[in-house]
Amino acid sequence: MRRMLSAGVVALVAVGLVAGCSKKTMKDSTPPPAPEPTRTEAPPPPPPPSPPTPKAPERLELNDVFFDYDASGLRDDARATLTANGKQLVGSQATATIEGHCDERGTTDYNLALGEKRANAAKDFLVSYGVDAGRLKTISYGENRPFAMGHDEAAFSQNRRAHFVVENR
Amino acid sequence: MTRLEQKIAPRAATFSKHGTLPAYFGAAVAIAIAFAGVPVASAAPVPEFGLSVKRAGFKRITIQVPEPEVKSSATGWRRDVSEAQETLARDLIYSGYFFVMDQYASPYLPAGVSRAWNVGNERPETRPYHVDAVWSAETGRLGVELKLVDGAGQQIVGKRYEVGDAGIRGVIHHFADQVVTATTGARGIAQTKIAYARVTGRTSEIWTVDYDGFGGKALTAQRSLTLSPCWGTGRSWVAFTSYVEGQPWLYRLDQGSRRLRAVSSYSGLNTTPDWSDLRSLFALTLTRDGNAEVYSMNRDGRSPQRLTHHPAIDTSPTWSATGQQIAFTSDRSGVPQIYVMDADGGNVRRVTQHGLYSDSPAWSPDGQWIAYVCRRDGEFQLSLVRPDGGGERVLVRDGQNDSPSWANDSRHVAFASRRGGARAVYVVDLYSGLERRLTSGNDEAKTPAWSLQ
Repeated sequence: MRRMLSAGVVALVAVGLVAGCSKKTMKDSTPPPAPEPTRTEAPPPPPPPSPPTPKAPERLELNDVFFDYDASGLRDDARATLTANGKQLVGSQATATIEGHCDERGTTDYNLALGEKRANAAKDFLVSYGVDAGRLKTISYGENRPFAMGHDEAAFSQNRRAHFVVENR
Repeated sequence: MTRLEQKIAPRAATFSKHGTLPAYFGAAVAIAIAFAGVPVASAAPVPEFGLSVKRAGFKRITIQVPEPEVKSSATGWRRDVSEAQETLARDLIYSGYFFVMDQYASPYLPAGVSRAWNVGNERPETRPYHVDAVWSAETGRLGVELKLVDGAGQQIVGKRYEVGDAGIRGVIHHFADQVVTATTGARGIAQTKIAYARVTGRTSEIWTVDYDGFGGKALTAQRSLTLSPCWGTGRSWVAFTSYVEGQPWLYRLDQGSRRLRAVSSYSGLNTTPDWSDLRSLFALTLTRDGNAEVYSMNRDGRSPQRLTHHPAIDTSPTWSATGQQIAFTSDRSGVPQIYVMDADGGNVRRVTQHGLYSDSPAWSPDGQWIAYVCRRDGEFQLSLVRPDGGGERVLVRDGQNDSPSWANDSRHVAFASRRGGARAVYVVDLYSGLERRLTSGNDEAKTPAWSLQ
């Protein structure tokens, strides 16, 4: 049973990798509807894809960028942070995933779209700065992955952010 | 065709057998219309729907759930019989149409039901309805004969059940729905379920729970961020967004085969699905074009059609019952507001005009209302508006409310609400304004979706 499961996990991860690779080609032309990884759900399920922890980041220190409430526009402090981040990225080979996050106010649905907009705003700035767009990925977690757990503005202001996760190749 | 007719049957017909209901409901609508022209941007309070009905003295049908007859063959099932009687009383109360008479007349009044939900009338009927139950197990299997009898002693509904796979609760829920339809003409909700996302730490799973809060169980085991469930045809499948493969993709889980498949895996968001049975189409949000837009696609993710074309955020689509229109959220005016468009994306018109933040629309099955949340006074209030923009009013004033989802009776709405602690799922009755908490425990519960069947 255990062997079967781990085989399933390997298969799943493989499907995920294939799907991930094929995404770049999907972007432009109207793609066929999704690679369809089908599987039977069997508890216990596969482990989650481990959060992309940089193994040995080439000493990049990419700082979070913060936003105003219900906004994806870049503040002056955000531009300064992004410029510093961009400087490091241009001089490195690393790829980065930009996570868009929101505070808990507002709706789950809308915050997903807002988080995406924030991540894209940060990405667009970095691309303008000169970072190769192919080295920047975006993902929105909406309100679902708060950094600070409080329910006040002090926590909210830390949660409205674009967060950088560096992956070395 | 039959389904369409059921779904869009005019509200008034629903109450034809009880003359009292349309009168009070009509009064509430009249109050609402009177307020419709008031600009809400000023400090003028938005009318509260439930309260206006309560003030009008909302009337319920009086019913007794007396001690059942238990044949000698069924005496070993005493506990099941008690559970059944309690379930029946709870179903009748939660339908919103009934007052179940006091403990003397109805010895199995369920524990845990708020006193407020079971309120009698100022002048109760002298000859109320009652339910006769005869339990037996002559064949070795428990069975029950249930009869709804009116005040004149006439049998209105008669059913015989064997307690099989559906279990005691399933049998009773079925009968309760028959009673609701026979006495009011309305659709019962006792057999429906609510799916929602239950958060534990950094992951969440889709759970389902019976409409009365019983029978909760995990549907998925993604061990990932998983949210926004939506029910497929006849509860045969549930679709949801999951990050299990790293990105927010849309999946569909077949209830029978337990098969899980990716429906939509475009770059960016594949979120906020809503399924139209009549159209056999999802409406959902994709950001594959770099910006959140509303799309439709079929159940396998084929034939995606882009419906919105605007550089602002367009998200949270909800089908009208007829499948002819879609309501959605857009911040194209500068702040999120509710819009309606035709199913092909044409004829876009703005529905909500006021407030700084209106989102999370849900179109009622009878087509009469769009429920949504609106930020006022620092709260996210659960609100209602007519699809043409009229009749705006508040349904739930306090708390941070989100993600309304209608029951098939177009009378009850499930929604997520944060009131101090973790977010939980609640149910509100439009006619009485009464609320009950559906999910229990300390885990956060959000994005509820009420099954239509």
